Amino acid sequence: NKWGLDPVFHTHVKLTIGYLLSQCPPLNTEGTFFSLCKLHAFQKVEIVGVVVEKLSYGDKMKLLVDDATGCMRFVVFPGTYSETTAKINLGHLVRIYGRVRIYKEVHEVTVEQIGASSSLFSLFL
Amino acid sequence: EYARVVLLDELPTTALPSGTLVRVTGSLTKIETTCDSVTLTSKGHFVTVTTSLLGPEQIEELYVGGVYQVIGTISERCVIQARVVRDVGGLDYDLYAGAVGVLRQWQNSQSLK
Repeated sequence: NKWGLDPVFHTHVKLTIGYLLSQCPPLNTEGTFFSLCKLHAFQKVEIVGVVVEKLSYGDKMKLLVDDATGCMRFVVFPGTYSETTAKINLGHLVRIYGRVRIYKEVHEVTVEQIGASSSLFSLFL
Repeated sequence: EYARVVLLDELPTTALPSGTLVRVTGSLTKIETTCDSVTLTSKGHFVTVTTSLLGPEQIEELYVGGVYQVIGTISERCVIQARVVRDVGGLDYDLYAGAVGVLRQWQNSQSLK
């Protein structure tokens, strides 16, 4: 298994949600590694979108982000949650770095870093 | 389900079933506080947006002349129930429309629709 030798495997691949959901099939049964263009394996993504739903469960937060090509769930755990809860609200354009996986047959991203995106045209980059 | 990007001039001609999630952009020209609605206009086309589902902090930020992007469900022709409102002041609408066209071409080529 030579995934680790591929630099794409260690980077946050910039994708749209629609492309990730339809063109990147999982490479393992656990749904933790995904295929990019049938040439590369990846597990980390960078996604830009608008927050359309925000749910708090104690110290965990779930965001629903829409980037005009698709909608996906993002989970923010306590370590990252304490840095973001005051900054991220509905309607904010955010840039998210995280690890994608399939959980209960649904794609979701565990957020590693989240921040506001300042560019109006970020959605189309 | 994600919000489908629709330009204001496409709304009258696009047959969208009630309940479809849409994302529209326009300049706010009228605020009616009595019936919780605002009017977005772009290039002579307008749409009525009801704001009853928005939080007070989002409604307070609305002002006449601002450019906003609304994500919501379309209930009947030209009436949108807003869920999220974004201030996109400074957006070049013609460039944005061009970008939407390119996005749609790419989506068709990838068969994402």
